[in-house]
Amino acid sequence: MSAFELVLAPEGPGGPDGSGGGAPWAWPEASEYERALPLVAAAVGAGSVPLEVLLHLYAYEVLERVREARTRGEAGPLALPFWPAALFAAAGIGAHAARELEQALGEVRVRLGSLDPSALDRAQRRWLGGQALDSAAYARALAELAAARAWGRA
Amino acid sequence: MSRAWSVLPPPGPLSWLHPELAGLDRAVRARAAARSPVRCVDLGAARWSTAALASAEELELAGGPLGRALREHLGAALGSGTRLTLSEAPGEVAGVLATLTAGTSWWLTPLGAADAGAELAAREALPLTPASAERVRAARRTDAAWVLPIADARDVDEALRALARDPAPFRAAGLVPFFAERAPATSGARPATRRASAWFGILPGDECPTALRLGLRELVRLLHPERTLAQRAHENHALAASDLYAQALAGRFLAPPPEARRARARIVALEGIDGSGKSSHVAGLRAFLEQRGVPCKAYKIYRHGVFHATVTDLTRRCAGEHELHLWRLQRLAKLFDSLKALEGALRADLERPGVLLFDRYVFTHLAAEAGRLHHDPYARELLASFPAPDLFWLLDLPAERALERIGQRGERTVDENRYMLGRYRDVLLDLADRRGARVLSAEAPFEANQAVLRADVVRLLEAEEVRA
Repeated sequence: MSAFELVLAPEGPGGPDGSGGGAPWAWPEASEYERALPLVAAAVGAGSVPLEVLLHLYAYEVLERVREARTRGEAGPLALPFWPAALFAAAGIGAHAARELEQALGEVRVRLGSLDPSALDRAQRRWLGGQALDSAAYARALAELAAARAWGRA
Repeated sequence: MSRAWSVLPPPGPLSWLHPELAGLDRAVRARAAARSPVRCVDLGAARWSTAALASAEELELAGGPLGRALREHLGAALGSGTRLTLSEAPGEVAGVLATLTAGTSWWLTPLGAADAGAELAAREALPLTPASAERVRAARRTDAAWVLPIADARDVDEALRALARDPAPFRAAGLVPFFAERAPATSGARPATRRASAWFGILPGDECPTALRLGLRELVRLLHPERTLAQRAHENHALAASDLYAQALAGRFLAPPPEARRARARIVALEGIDGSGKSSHVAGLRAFLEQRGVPCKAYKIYRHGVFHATVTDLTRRCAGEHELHLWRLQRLAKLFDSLKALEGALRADLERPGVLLFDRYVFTHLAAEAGRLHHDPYARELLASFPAPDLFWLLDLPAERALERIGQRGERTVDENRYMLGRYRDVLLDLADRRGARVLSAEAPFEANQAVLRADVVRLLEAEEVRA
């Protein structure tokens, strides 16, 4: 199986800084994920479901979208707003399944787009249903992860 | 408004497994409360509410893993109006255990020794021998407990060697096996165990070698045979990242279920384990309703395609007790996929008159949570958007008969075995009983069951007409 290419671009291909490098979103237009997300985000906001559940669902979604593209014979690039392990780190959640989900992804090649906090804030509202965590903390966690794994810039 | 309160967290999983530690906790707490110059609130002593704590300006929480979990919970529940701090001197068992130094493992270590008599107070630990165990048994006080600290696989091996020859004296001494995290030498960072902090003492998380995990199990079996299964359940929850302590703090197990919404369409749910004939009956009912000119659609909220292949792959990765974080995650993913189905074409159909027939409904999710996890990882909350069914039937079938029927279909899923189908069936029968469902034997002739289902639907629709 060849390496699948992913671009971490909080505002996707249409972002003002162009850091997505033109990679299309991993999700189709008006995706099921975006339609169902408010139900989970509302439960998190009401305190009846913890944030880790929402972050796990986002992390799983990344896996499903990559597998879907692979079944079409594609190898990317696809744009993702966030990298799951960095989300968990930024939220201070130590007990999570990001490692297992990354293993299930198969070989991937990741490039970094913008880490601008305001772009990350906007991406949180769209893809996490609200301001779930500190964007600056996410940017720091992602930068550390990228350095450790030698991920390049988009 | 009070200025500052000292707060002791309620007992956690270690005391759930070893209740004698809760007794020790209470004694330690009482002493802490007596010493405290400020108001001391023991959340383990009585029912409590977050609202009652909100009247303090500052809450100083006893340190240790439970205190950290409580700070996280209260931080979210109280917002920024109340300052939360962790005391440096923990007032609970965890704090005492945290003082264990490297090299003391495989020794018997007293807890609460300051109140356990001069003889024990003079000692920090005893070697792990039958003679020591006998002294511990003789010296035990109601407010003292002795633990057997374990830090690595070597400790387990040595402890097992000592116990295996003659476990009786150690069992009589009431020793509690305890996984003690050694403090990192230089960085000061806590070990990355990927288990919620409240599971401390039970196991080290999934960074440990399998031999250590199996060894801890064996120690519990030798010392407390009646807790063997409970320890396994705790271990599975911890390794699957289920934070039961946080859920207990949030009062999740006391909260009433969310009130189900009503839909304009009439919701008709058929449930049953694999092979019970749901799809055939849904097709029969649909044809019957269409013949009568009733607007009708059939739905499956358990979908196939890439989603199903992905969650099936994740489930298979857990075989042999591997990657247990995925065991919980695949259930969450299935819940979310049903929400995706809800927010698709189904959402509009719910607001139209007619009948919606469901080939499985939310009850299958609930059966899967209890059947697979023995715990609900937020299905109740996440599925609250689904309206309550107007009719709920359970096509009941013994697991053995289901397997005979499934056997003709090809490759089996991880659930298609006698044990798992039996668990699903038990939970569905319980749900049917509590939700007032009609239970039909799936072994009855198809036409007989169809006649019952059709009569029920006709009665429902006639009642609707009367109301209209």
